[in-house]
Amino acid sequence: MSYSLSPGGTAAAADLHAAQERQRLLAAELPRVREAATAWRNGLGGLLAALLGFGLIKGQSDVSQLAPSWAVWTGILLLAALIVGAGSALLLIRAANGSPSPARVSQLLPRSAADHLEAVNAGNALRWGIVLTLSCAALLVAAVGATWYGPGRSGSVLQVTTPTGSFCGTSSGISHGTLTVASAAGDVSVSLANVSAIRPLLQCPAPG
Amino acid sequence: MQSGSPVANHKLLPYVETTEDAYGEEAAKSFSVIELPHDTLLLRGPCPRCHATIEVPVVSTIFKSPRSLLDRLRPHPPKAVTTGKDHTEPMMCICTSEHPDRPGGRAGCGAYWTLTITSAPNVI
Repeated sequence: MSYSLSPGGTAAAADLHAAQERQRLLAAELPRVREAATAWRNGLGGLLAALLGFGLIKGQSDVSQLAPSWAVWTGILLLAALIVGAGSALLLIRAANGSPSPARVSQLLPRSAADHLEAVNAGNALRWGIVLTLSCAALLVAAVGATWYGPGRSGSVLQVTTPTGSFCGTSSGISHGTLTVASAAGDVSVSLANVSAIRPLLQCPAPG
Repeated sequence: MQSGSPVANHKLLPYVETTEDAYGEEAAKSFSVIELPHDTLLLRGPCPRCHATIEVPVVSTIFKSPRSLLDRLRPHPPKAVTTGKDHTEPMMCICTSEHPDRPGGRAGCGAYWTLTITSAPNVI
């Protein structure tokens, strides 16, 4: 884009006031962005801390108790929340404190122009930081909700009770009315007619 | 916004909020336009009254506070400044040279004028 300048006609007092207002706004723009970014950073940090505390105190704390597919999705949600949360934290810190990268001396701009460009960049970082923080919160809520309300892992071993005792192990199948269970002591076959109870368990009880 | 080194015989030029048509004509000839990111222009040249070099950013947006969702849905007036083909920009001297009688919190020598900025796409 090329630009050319021409006289704008007779200026009025309103033009002076507009120019003074523009200068006043530009001079205060960067401190205004920094102040807003600091307030948002602190507020959103508190929100996330409260959410994490609430999520960790209540509900199932062990993802391994969930059904395998739910546990995988909960892990994905937590990983996504971690990545998004880290990105949001970096953006909010960048908005509040600026970028640590040095500027090339050959590209230095007048203070007012440089401050305005930094204010625009910081404002963009602040907006994206807010969006990502809220996304992180939503992902955390989804992950915590999944651990609360997701189906538990079904029993992977069976405890079979018969009139002569009980044994525990993984089922190898039922054939001709006989249940075969692979227990720690070896395969045990028992007629279903003799089984008085079958309980699915997460793991076999310790012997003794 | 900064000024160049003050010229000795201009140091005593008093601050007076004044304008003349010649200010705009002189600035249109002597000012240069530098394009910056984010729809920002930098106008650089000597003040038509005190002749101190000034650099005036011309911006299309300015940060106020993060907009709420409702605010985003409201209609907004069209953006000013560089996106149109022609835009008239109010200008004033913002030098930091010494000018007697300048009120506190003000900059420059008091001169103000208007400039029309015309943009055209580069033809390759």
